[in-house]
Amino acid sequence: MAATADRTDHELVRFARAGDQDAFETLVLRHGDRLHATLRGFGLTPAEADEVAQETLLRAWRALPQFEARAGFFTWIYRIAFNEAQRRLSRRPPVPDLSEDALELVADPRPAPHAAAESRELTAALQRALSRLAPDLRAPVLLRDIEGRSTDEAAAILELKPAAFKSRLHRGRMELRQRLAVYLA
Amino acid sequence: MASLRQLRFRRDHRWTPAQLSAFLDDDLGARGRRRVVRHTDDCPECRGILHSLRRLLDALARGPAPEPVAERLVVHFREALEREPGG
Repeated sequence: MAATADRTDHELVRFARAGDQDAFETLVLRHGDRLHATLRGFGLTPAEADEVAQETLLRAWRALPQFEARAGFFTWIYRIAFNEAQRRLSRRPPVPDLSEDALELVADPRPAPHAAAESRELTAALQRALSRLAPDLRAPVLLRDIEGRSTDEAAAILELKPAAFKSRLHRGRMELRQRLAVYLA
Repeated sequence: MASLRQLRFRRDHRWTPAQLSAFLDDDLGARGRRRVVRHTDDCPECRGILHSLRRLLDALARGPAPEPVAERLVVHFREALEREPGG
């Protein structure tokens, strides 16, 4: 019999649904880094992402017997995580309008940065621009363009019809593009 | 009076920007793809938007590596289960 670590995700999900905690923990070891990174991408602090990931895993473990295998396991986990992250974000006090900062970024008069520094600066600017994107536009970009989920899977996680998902994805990309104009020319 | 070519250019100039994500995601039909290619060949503004969207998607795909937190998540998960009644 294969050791737990040698099992495919599909097998592990089946074992976990039958109450095998080792199988569930192996899934967490395989996918926990990405889940946590996605929660950070939603705009949570490292501590908040820890708490939400924890809550997500506990909820998923408790609800596993009711999980319907025809829905993708990771779509289901990410949906729990996304909803929990939204709840967390909605409890925060409103943030000040950052549009001036964004304009400053677009109108940055410095010469275009070079080589390795360019890549580092773009990554940092991208993180800033993403964090300033409205959550309903940020989530599609995060799931589709950073996580690499398919359109159908990402739309299912966000409980959107594919057409609505694509529209938000495009708006999110266009807004990022505008905020990062100086780096993307 | 605007020529047919100018009218088509204006119509495509209004239409193209909203289609560029679908174009890059290979989610546009053959006719739509041809229309985007034809217009971006002729229009520096829309070609610039397409170019910057491509660069954006490349940068997003290369994003920073996730932090290695999975082992910590497992430890906390076990601790939380042990704290539960009957755990």
